[in-house]
Amino acid sequence: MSDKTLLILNGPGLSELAGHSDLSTDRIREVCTSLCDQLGLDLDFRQADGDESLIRFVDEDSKRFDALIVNPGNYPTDGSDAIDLYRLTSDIVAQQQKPVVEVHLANVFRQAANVLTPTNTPNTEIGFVCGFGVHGYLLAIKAVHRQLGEN
Amino acid sequence: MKVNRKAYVINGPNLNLLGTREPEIYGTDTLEIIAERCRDQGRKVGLEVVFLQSNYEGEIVEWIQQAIKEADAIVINAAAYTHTSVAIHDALKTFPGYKIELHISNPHLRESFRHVSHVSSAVDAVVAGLGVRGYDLVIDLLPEMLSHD
Repeated sequence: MSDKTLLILNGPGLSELAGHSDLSTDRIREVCTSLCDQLGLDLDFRQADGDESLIRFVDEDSKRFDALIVNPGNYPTDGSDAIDLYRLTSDIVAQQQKPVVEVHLANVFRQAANVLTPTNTPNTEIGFVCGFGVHGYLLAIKAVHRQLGEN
Repeated sequence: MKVNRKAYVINGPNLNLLGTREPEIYGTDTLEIIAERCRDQGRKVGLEVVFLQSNYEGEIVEWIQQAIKEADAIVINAAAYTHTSVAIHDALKTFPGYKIELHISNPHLRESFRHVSHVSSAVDAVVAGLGVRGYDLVIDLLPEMLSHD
């Protein structure tokens, strides 16, 4: 029935969950699946287990999706190079003129100053949502769904 | 607890020009269209929306102070003052309710002078780059966020 597929990609460990004791990746998957069912979106919810799966995604898989929601977890603050891979992933999908939203559970600006400087994607827009906890995913899904309907 | 919950949606400088100013970045909807959409969405979810815009920093500070007495939540698009105003940061810090920073475009993808926000660290949550859709989407979500307070 649905003709649009949304990929939700979560960073390894989703370590921000440490500060959200009532949340688990399973719980997030559950609420996201429920909303996507309601909106008629096919959902592919993935937990990246390492850099390799990300690179594979960038090389091969990105054309299969109509929209991307990405939670880089604590990458913006841990100094890892993997954040660049996430941003590259976002850029590649955005350059295909597909909706992309970066989601963080916590308000990352309260944790560290000036942690977010996405790479430049000329003529594309990448959405950004932080601080809403699990509701940030729902906000992002609704935004992506509406954007797909407008295009 | 107030029965009818109220949200101030505060818009900063040049947002009165929406629809005509750089439509490739900000879209073709006017601020009045966005305001009406927010009020409609508010009625659906049981939230009174007070929609405001000013080109003056001091007026924005006064609205935030007024919200302390009158509102449960603030959604603020401080526009250019985002990157310059310590006064707006300080005022937001005094507001005890739920606070959301909103931007139509994603400032981090634009000129480097837009990369610093004095608003982000004073609010609970940030939404950017979702276009004008961001406004009614956060109004839709606000009752849920207020129920956790």
